[in-house]
Amino acid sequence: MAFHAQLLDACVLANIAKSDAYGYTLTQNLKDVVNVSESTLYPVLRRLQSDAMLTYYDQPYQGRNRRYYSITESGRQQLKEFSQQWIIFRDKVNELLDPFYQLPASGSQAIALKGDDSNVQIAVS
Amino acid sequence: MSKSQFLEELAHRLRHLPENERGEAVRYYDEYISDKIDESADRADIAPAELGTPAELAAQIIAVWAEQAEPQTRTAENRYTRDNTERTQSTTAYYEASGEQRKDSGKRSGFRTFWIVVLAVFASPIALPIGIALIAVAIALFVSLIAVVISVAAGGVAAIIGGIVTLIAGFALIGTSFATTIYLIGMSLAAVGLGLILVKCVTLIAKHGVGGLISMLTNAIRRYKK
Repeated sequence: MAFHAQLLDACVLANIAKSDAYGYTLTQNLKDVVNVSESTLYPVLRRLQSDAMLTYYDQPYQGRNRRYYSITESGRQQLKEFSQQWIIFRDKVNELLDPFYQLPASGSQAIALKGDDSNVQIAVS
Repeated sequence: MSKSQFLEELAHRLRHLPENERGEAVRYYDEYISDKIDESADRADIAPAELGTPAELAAQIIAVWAEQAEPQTRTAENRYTRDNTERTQSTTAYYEASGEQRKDSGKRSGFRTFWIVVLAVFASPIALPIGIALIAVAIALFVSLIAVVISVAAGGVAAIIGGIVTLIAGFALIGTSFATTIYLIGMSLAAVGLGLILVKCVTLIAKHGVGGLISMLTNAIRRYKK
């Protein structure tokens, strides 16, 4: 939960750091990357605001206001920290998962699946 | 449901939140739905089904707000380092900071948070039985706390009154038996002292017990929600 929340924070900050965005486009952008529903982002934005990671300004659009969010200096700092943590995490997971990228694999360390009728043996040599 | 109906219901369901929180949420979804409508082909004035019902949205907003309400003064850095187990140093710093801050924030806001968290639990239909169980536990705990306070207070008051009566009795017997007088005065002073200690205990229990219970229950609900 905590991990997921931080990752979402990082994605939101990164998106806004690229260019200022309003709620609707931000949701659309993030839908392509992480699994967010339409109601996910409001609490996140609110929290990032109260943490002074984001500020906003209103811009008129077709007779109403659109609220654009932009990243603050501490938001940038946090984003930098996030991305550094992410790289460490990513490398560790890669290290763990890479050997299994191609199954079935050959080689002495690989896990071989032998199917004898219904009897499946897993042999690690 | 039209946009205005949707927003009206949302505002109504958020009526227990502070005014600016409610205003912000309604403003955000007003803009969001407008953008969504502008994007749609027919531009029909319909709140998107993907948003869920206003009730669901409100429950989510209240839950997130309640989770944050207490540590509002917490600085940005603390929030992230709290979950980071690698940094024990800043974690202790955070606990110190939050301890100081808890003293500052009044009991009333703690109580308010508690009730809003309770409302949030009730707002989500799945959690309703658990919510009822929690309320029952909360009531039971409050009743037993009050019972403890009353009985200890009664004991204390009785000891003080008994002590004073014994003291008077002791002085009344001064002509008859000096030894008995000394004995009774000693007993009475001990009783009064015990009574005063008990009364002090009651005030301490009442003072910290209620606040402790509230924060305990609030934390229990929060932990459950995670």
